[in-house]
Amino acid sequence: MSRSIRLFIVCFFLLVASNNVSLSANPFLAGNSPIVRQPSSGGVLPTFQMELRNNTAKAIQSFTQDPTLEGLLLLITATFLYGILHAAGPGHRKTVVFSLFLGRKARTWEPLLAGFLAAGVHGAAGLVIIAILSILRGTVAGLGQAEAVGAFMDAATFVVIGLLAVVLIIRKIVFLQKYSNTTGIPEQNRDLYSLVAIASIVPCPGAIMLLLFASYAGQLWLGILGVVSMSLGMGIVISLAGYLAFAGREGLFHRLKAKEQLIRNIASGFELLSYLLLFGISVYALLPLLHSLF
Amino acid sequence: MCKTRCSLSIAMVFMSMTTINGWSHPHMTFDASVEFEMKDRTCSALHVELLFDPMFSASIIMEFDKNRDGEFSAAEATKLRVGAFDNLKNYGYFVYLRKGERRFQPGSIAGFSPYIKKGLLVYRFKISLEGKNLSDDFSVAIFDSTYYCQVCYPESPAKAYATAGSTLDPSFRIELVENKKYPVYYNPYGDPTDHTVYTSWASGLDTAFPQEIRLSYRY
Repeated sequence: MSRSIRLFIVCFFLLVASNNVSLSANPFLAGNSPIVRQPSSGGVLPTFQMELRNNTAKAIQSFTQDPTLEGLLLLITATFLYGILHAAGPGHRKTVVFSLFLGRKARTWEPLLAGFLAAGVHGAAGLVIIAILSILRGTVAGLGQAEAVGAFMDAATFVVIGLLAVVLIIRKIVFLQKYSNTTGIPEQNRDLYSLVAIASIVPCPGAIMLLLFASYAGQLWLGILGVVSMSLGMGIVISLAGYLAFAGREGLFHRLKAKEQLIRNIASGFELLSYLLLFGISVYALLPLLHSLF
Repeated sequence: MCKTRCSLSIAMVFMSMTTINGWSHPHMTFDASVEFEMKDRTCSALHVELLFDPMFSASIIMEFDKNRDGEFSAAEATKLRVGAFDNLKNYGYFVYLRKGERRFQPGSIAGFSPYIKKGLLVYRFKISLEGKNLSDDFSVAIFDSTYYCQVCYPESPAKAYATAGSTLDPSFRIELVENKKYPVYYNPYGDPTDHTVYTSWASGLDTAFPQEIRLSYRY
């Protein structure tokens, strides 16, 4: 077995194994039943994650009373590390990013951009939800409302991703039939970032609680700073998911560089596979919702 | 060949690591402690206290302590119960009781009193165990099968006291023990309204072995 194929197998298993398709609904809050599939486990160093989160809370509290550079650095460090560990667990759209780079020819820096785009949109979604709810309420939003909106958005993005995947599958099949006798099949990369952005319009409950905590302390900007730092940490992990697919694909194609027709066929197969994977992920995540509807 | 095996091994190790229970995905944490209300050597009620982390505490306190006096009035506590506690019934209040191999969860609670302790939120609730025959040697585990919460235990997670008119046998022993023998089953793939409590394994269920607080007697 060639090195590139081995690498690809490892990449694929790593992503499948990470079982990362959903976020949670807070079991304490009324009417907050999960509407997408929940993680049955998964996550990295949960106790340490919670220590980091509590340190973040302490940093905000101490900064409120005594603003120091050390307090600020503690906040940034704790949220950054929390972002890395948190994103390494279930959710946060790593599978989506992996699927997209499995099916596309990309430049070296693109998984990095996609990862940070996903993390940025993920973090910003929480801020936007809290801002809108707070404006509607005339006071700082409540956790229950914010999480209920988040759970709905979680399901809605999977519906959109699933439908887009169907459109892309049909388009690819039509495209392949049209260009089956030509030597050059143009790459279609323009949808990639739109898909990543759409898939990531889901707030992270961790970011929501951080923003609310900072708001209650009258230091919203500290919450925003924390979410930015957290998103940078998450971006690294989500980018790695993209790079796993990128490296596997590039490695395989490098080994086959003398066989252009085979490369084209495999590339098309990967692209179709990536759309099917996206569709499968969406249906899998939405099964609880579908069960409750039918 | 060796490299192939090595690569596949790494993948398999990663797969198995994601399925063990130590790898949870928490968004909040609480310290859980219990009090056993004993009638002689039989437990008649269990009092559970959950002490929450600063972020969740702040969210709930700001939402429900409307007059900001640091206490929940009866009206505030009622609203809190409806808005941020009663949903826990769908998860058996996170309480898993076990006598021998028989494991069960409470279907209801007998009292709920939230309070604020040094700025942190505490939920205290009572579970009546009359007629459950929990005597001599039994265990309780606090476990969140959704993995939304990281459950921790303080250094002394439990104590026992006698109800009026009875005496507490002083030979009892309470300990927090690792549990490798008595599983908790839960369905991670059910629909949103499926909160069935499973007493035996079935296809599709996941298994966890949460730590248990065990009450037993020395003789």
